[in-house]
Amino acid sequence: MPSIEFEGRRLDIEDGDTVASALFRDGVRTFTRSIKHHRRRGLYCLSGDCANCLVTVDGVPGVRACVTHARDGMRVRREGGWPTTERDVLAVLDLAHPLLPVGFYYKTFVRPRLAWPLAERVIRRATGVGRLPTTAPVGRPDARDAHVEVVVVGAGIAGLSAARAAAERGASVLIADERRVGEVAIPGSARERVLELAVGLRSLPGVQLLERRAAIGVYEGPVVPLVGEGELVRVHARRVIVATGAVERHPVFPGNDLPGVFLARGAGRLAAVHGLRPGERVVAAIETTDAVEQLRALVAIGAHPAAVVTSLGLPDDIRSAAAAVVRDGRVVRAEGRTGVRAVVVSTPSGERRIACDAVLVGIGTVPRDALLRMGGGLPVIGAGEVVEPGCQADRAAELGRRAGLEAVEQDLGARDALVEAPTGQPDASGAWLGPDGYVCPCEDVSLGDLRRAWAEGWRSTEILKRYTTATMGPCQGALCARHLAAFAGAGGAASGAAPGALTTARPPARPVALEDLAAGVHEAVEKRTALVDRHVATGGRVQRSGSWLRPYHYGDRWDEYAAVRERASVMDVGTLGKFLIGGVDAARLLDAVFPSRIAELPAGTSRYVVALDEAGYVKDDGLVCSLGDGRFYLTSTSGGADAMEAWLRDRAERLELHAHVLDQTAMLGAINLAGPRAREVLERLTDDDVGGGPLPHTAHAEITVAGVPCRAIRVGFVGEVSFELHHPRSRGVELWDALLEAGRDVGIRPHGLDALDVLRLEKGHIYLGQDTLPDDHPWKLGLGWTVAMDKPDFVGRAALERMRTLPLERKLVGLAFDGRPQRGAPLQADGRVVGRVTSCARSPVLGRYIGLGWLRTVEGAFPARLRAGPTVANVVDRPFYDPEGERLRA
Amino acid sequence: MLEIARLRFALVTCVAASSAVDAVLSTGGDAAFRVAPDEAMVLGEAGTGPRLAETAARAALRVDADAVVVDATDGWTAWALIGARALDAFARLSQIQPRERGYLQGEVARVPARVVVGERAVHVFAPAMWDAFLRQRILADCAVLAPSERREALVWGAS
Repeated sequence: MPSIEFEGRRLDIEDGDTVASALFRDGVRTFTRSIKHHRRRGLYCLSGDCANCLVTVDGVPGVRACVTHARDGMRVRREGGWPTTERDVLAVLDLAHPLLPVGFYYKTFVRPRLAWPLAERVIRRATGVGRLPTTAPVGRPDARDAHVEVVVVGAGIAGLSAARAAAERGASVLIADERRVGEVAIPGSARERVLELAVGLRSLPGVQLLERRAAIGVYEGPVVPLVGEGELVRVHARRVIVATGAVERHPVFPGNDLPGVFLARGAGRLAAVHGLRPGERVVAAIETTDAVEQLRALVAIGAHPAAVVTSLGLPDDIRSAAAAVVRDGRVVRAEGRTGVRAVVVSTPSGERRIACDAVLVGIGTVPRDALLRMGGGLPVIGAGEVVEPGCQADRAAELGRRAGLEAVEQDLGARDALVEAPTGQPDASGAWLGPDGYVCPCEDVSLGDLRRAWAEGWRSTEILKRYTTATMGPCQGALCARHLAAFAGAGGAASGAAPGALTTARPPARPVALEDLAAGVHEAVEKRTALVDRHVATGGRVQRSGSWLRPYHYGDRWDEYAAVRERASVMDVGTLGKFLIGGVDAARLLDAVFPSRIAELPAGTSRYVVALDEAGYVKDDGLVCSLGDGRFYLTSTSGGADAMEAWLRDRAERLELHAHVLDQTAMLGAINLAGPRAREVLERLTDDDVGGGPLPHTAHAEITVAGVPCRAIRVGFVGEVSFELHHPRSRGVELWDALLEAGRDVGIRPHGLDALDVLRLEKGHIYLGQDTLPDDHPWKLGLGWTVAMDKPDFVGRAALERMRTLPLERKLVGLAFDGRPQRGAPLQADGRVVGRVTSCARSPVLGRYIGLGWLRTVEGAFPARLRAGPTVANVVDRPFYDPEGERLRA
Repeated sequence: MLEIARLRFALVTCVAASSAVDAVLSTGGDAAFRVAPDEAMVLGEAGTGPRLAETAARAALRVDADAVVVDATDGWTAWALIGARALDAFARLSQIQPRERGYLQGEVARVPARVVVGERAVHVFAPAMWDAFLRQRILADCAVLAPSERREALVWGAS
């Protein structure tokens, strides 16, 4: 026989059992302890609405036992209570309720200041619902998108009827329910009707029926995410029909949270679906025909109600089964310690105490309308009990059919008209059965707590919610939201405050695991050049740099550095942004964008440019190569490529220029060959003349290297003779291998980002982002030479015009240290912090630590001698290495 | 059943005035797509990039003398989702609503992509720097469909 393991012992389970029914059959009555006062809590709604049966299943906390099917081998344990749920020492907190009034944590443990951190730890350990797993493997739910015309949430009579009506008119329909179809209906005609509708619906084309998927919200689109069965389905639909039914009114009276107090449908389900009696002596307080049906389910399995408290005329079978019928009575309190032992009923003739071990309360329903209320402004339609609580099956079917037709026939222009007004105007009639009791069982908020909060001045639904935390528990107000609104409304009327309204409905409408929210998101997006495999194969330590995978080093960063300074080296710079700009207005576009002169650039030459925003601040930099025939080739930083393309296209459009921008970043690879012997290596692989005469510094040419067509650009970030070889991506490996082979005898080796960091620093080159701040104009960075202020216009010019007249109060400077500095270290002058180190490294060629850093003026002048922690820093000119650029231009 | 296969193809990009893009589309037939008001993409069999580019350039330059037409095959990678579950697989990779046939574009597997839905396969084109990432995501996100990966690349036009 299949079984589950419950707190160390084996429990046989029956076909159709939920975890809750299996435990209840075994005699478990206390399912959990309440969050604050550690009161016993037992089965109550059996519809997944309340938090009374949260248990830990297979290490996962917060599982609703009443809607979770028992499976062979499950490990179940209760949550709450110490040392056990059954014998909970912390239940003493219930006695201390008057000492821990609502909101006490805002008012106590305030002084001394250390008190709260300590108290918080204790409070957090003593409260809560279950413990998050720390070792259990994280699930990886599948994620997918579904596109339909109509999505229906809820597969009861109304939902199925709506789906059918829409599908019969040719709409594609997805209908979902958090349970199996018919699972919640009492066996008999109602269930048969549901199953019959489902069979008919499945036979229609274009219909998808997803069971055990809970809708957790309605988002713009509209999009309805469904969670369950190990997947997240994002349903994109033109129309959303919410047919989530109703939840029974939660009665409020002293003792309303004792184990043994059931909502009528919950007790009916326990009897009809699982064949279990809620108790041996049941008192039923019922005021609706639906509740009578639930009581009938109990009678059908042999229960004899000790009393039926009602104002209804009872059918004969119920009347004859009941030991007593109490007319016009109201339950005013339930008594008991570990469970219900009696109820006290007020009648016109006085109070009457009735011994019992279970109370069934059926006083009406309220709509389960959280999804409907989330859909304000979206094409969301309610159907069935969610718009007409308590309606009978035929009426629900009719409401569903109408909603289905409406969803198909309304055009989008009328979308606002589709939204059903929230049904949330609170109606407290019949709900307030006693002078006190738990309004919000999830958060342990009683009617007395609400009164206290009201007296303290918290006088609207929203602030009562925030102060008391009512409606903020796992049920998200399903039971208590209307009580809270009614309370605020009634109090408001007395005090002149605004009438109570429901609190805002927000996702998730149903409990959802964090792993479900993260479904489909497993890793960061990762770009690769064509050479990444080569880097790995040659020992490169490849890691993310921005969104690219790049080699940081190949095992010996100092020899990589030495290769650049003394021999020859290659670096994969395929990550650079690369753009081809053509069109008769290409030069005008670039001149309008960049502060440098572009139109005058002769073909075959290039120019370093900075890109400014409208405020004149540097946002990127790059190189513009003039290709002739009015075309240009632009490179940008690796991280700035996407923005650069969008920016150029936007400018071309705004200025109505006839210029075309083609992003070639993915199409082209780039390898930088650098070092004093770089030209020697290159000459071995090309017949083209790459000497300093035909190809001087900043020039570029189309050449062929080892059979690979390349655009060779004489620039370099490292301060040595450099050739940036831009080539077709598919030929990258071929070119890389050829260069390394050709340079083998001169000691060529690739260098990574670590070596580059030192090499560029020696030349005083900045890293945008690392060495810059968001409000840096070119002069602050020492890049004023890139700006041609005599140009009539370029992006940022107007701002620069104003800023150039202002004295420079902060700038980036070169620093020479007498010790080892730390990046980020504050720079101090005469004990005052005047800047910080943005980059620093030991320069092998200079034999000392150098760096870049921000410096601001002190009394109108920039200090020249600073401290960076224990070291002394002197402001020096940049570049540190080869200041005349002789090696670069060689 | 779901199979995935690397796709071999040629891809030409034309950036030009809208009317020139129209001209390119008229020469490209079923394999030419407008990807932006001023940009067209023409697909063809692997190795035909230069010829396609020449044809497209002729058409574009007649209308816009500044049109930029390049064989951009190197800049793209493409994977084909093949079989009865191809659309199911696509639904696990993208929020884009698939069509029975035709061209779509948007985010697929979290990268910007162009999608051509054919009779027997869904072809996903993405910039080449995402080649490895795209394959990895397809296999991971569609794992529930138990995809098998073809050893041989699929040739554009054969699916």
